[in-house]
Amino acid sequence: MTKFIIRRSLFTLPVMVLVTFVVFIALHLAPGDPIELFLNPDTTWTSEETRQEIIDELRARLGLDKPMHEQFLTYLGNVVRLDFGDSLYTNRPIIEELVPRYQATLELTFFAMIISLSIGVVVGVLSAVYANTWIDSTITFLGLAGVSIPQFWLGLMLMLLFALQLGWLPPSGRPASAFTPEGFRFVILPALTLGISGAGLLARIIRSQMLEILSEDYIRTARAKGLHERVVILKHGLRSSMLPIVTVFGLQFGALLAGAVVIETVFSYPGVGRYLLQAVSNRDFPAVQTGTLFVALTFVLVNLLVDVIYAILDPRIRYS
Amino acid sequence: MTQHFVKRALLAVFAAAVLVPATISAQDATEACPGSINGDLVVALNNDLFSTDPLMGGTIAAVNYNMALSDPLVIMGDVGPSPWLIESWEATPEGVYTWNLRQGVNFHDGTPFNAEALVYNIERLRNPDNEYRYGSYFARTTALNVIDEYTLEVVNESFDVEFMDRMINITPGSPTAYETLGEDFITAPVGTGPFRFVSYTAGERAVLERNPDYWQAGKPCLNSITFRFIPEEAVRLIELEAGTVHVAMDMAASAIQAQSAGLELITTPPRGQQMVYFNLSRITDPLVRQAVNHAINRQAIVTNVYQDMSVVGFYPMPPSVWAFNDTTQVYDYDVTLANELLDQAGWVMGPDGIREKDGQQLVWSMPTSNIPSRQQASEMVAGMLSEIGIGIEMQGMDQLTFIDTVRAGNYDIAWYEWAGSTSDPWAYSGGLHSEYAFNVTQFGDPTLDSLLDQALVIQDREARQALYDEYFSIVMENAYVASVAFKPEVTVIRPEVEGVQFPGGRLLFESVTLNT
Repeated sequence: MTKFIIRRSLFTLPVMVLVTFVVFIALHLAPGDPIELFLNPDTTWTSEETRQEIIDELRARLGLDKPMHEQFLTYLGNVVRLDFGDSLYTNRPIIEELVPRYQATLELTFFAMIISLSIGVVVGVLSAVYANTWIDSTITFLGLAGVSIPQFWLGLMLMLLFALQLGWLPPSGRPASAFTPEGFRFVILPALTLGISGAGLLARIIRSQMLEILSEDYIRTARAKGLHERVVILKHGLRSSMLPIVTVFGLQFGALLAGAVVIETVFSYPGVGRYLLQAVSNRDFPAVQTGTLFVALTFVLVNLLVDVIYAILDPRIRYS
Repeated sequence: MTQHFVKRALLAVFAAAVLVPATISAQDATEACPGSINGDLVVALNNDLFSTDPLMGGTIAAVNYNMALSDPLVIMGDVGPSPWLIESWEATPEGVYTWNLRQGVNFHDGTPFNAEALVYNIERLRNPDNEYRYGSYFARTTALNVIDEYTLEVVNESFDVEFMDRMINITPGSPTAYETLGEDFITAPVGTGPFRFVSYTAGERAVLERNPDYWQAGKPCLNSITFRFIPEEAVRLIELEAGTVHVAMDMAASAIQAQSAGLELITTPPRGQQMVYFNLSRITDPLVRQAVNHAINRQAIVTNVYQDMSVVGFYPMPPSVWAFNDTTQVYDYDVTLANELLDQAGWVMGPDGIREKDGQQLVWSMPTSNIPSRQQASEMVAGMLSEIGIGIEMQGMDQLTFIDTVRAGNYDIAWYEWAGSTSDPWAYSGGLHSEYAFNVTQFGDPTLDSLLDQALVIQDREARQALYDEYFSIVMENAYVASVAFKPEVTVIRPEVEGVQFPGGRLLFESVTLNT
């Protein structure tokens, strides 16, 4: 088991280097000189020479005057030492700015996953148990709607309903961590918006998995020996259906992280998504690079975790 | 005058944020608060501050935060700057400015605000290592002479009509705090303003509390101000309606909805310029440009895209600016005349509805910003031009790329908006100056340049009026631009908020009260 985990973790290393490379190259191949783009067009320069001096100085400071491969190696070295440089816009260390944002996004994603799982499992099981009845059709329709509704619109609608009409929850913001009583009220609406879109997919997968399992021999045996139907479904049925859910969970986590960009803007939520969006519109290229890298690496790590959990749940996987 | 100076001065004018006058000065704002001091005001800004340092500024969000944390050197009045931290000033034609500073003003840490403190702030701004946005205001300052504790002499290379206007952006910080805190100043910024810094969470909020020792005795009337950063206008409106926000800025697109929800609007006079620019190096025939001017239905754009919040403006200067002159030629909406002008210019209507001349079709490129209202306005202009046989190839792009593209001259025609400007006519005249770095029209005319250069350095208003009249009559006659409309800055407040003043498109907080 330990051997598997170590081997699987080692496989992650080249992926991480590759991810770093892709993020690096994508930003360098994007049209426009990052320095020229960054300079505020409204800035007044005493002369063209001072402007050029500042450009050259910035270029040298960021190492952009060196050949590409050298730049990448320096960048990789810095990343390994957790030195991500300073933001061009605020002149503050990017890591200092990013960590609280990252924490906010993880909190949001965490609660969205809980909502997604709760709705997805309940609805998926119901849908399978009542397969091909009106309950199933309604759930299928709602699930499809959940996946298809734009998050931007759903967010505003939930805000109108729960914050404006009912007055139960605050519309937007994040005055404190979601793990405090004050902050928790603020995370509900954005997490719900994110969670609903994820729940649809999860419900569909659980439904088909459950349907397959409910027709297995051991379920018939369980029923034959007189077990209560609830025990049959939850203990014998659902437990065996959980395995593929772990995989979907990993993929969903990535999707939620990406979806957070939209949700964070709508709900004025200070997470990585909004940080990235602001960095892009300020053309703050080191900040964009680091933010993207954080999100990408999170995705890689979550998938590593999923594989490990998978191996624990199903011993056959380790040997293949 | 050097070329650099002209370029720099013009840049500075256009770089200035939204400034609109209102009759207000520190003197008339000193009566006591109407009730007891209480209330926690929540203000929604459209963006993060990025820096809590009061010298930074640069965005609508940041300048409004600065108005609470510190005090501006001057504020915008009806016809130019009015006293604030600078109580009175004199300027010589040679460019020597004598500033008499307000006495009895202290920074929140007890450091007195005086000539020395102001010199420290200006030097800090001027130091390029600090990367402050307003440092260039003092690029032509050759000496800062402290005459006495409350008198500062600023010696510039020459007189500049805009110099004092720009001082509305300067909101000083405590020299003691800058020195002792160094880079950590932004974690505990210190100004002179009605409110003191409490906390800042990037991307979320900044909280300020009442400064009991404010120089206007008895003010401010609130316990605290919280600035929240809410990028979506629709969400700012929901927060206002829910009562979780009391004041929201930058609300032009939802002004009508806000009114019907029982909220109050505070608008500045319409000063933000909305216009169609031609690339004059490509569209050289004045007849063609006149045709375009006649083909644009300005009222339709204002009604459909800007919900009548903007006002139609044929003349490229808003009526509220003193040098406005409505006696010059205007281009009424007249499609028949527009078609005649194009016929006259030799462009013949082709079989596919696009005009041709010498085997060449009249098709123009039109880059378009992705800001929804600007995209819609561009689409309407393109539709109107297609009616007179001009083909338009629209290219959508994000706002920054759009600005780069247009300023580089890679376009034929473009819908362009300036974010408002100062009260001086200079702000509305620079777009065609050949030395102007944003010369988006790719144009240079020595006569126009010289008229503008002269108007910048003289103080006599009548003489300036004559120069601007001549300048704009040339611009209008040749249809160098197609001015469409002017838009106001819109702030929405809840009914329980009182005493809001909005000089220069920025909020004055010391007299604001909250009836809860």
